[in-house]
Amino acid sequence: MTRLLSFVLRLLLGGAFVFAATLKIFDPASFANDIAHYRLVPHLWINFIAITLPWVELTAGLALIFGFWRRASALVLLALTVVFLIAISQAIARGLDIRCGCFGTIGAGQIGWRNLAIDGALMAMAAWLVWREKNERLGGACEKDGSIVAP
Amino acid sequence: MARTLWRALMIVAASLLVGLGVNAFRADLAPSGQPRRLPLVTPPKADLAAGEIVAMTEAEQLWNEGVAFFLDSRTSADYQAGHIAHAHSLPDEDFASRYGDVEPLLTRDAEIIVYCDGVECDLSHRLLEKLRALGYPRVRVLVNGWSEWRKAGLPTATGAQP
Repeated sequence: MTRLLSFVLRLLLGGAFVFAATLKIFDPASFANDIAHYRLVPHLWINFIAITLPWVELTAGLALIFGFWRRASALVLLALTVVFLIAISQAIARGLDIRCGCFGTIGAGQIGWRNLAIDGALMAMAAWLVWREKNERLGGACEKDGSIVAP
Repeated sequence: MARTLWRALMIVAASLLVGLGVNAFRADLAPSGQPRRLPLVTPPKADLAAGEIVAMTEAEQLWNEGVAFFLDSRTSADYQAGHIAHAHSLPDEDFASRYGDVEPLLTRDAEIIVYCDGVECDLSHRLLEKLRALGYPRVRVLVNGWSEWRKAGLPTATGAQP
């Protein structure tokens, strides 16, 4: 049962990040602007982050979906959600009138608790997977009774 | 756990290399004339130079004469809710995708006035930097433009682009 849950969560979490990453990879300039509006990182870093961060999301998301280095990729996504949590929280606390930029220009409304809730849900999924996926394996895995379950 | 950490770092490192690699080869990042690749954003300056600010009285005069091109750097939603009459929308955050809309309307020596809302707002500032980088030397910021314009009771409009 937990295997099935793991599988579903991997698809959900990985899928969310692959989706978000793809949007940002196609429009790095908008993403760079979104990062700038958070007023959190020095300007020298903004372009670098805008160019590379979506690829980290994409790689880790794909790895998680295809079951490659599951625990490590879940750990990367967990770290990302923690960073996002800090960024979104400080934006709300400072009352910045900005958009999240989390999923590219989709949902371009002002940043708020909704973004925080989505990030919290993703963080919980990632944390659970890091905790659960102790046995990392390429491809499918066998249950104790020998039945093959989805990778 | 050490192995997991090591693998996580490898995922990040590989992603950075791919990201930078792809970025070095793609040419679609910018509309015409804008510098490609880096920098995607222009750093804000602490303060505007004197030549980069237009006073309210002069802005009003230029507007009355119809010789200045007003650009609203706020979001599209803000623009549609209300903007300086005859101003065009060019949200700073969508600059790359929206610049093409106003480019045909501008000449290089055009008198351009950019504005947003609030003394702290730096959207117009960022827009000024971008436009200057593209070769429009006569761009100036109307500080706290939207508020000041309304306070002065000057003509406004609502809805999409004129």
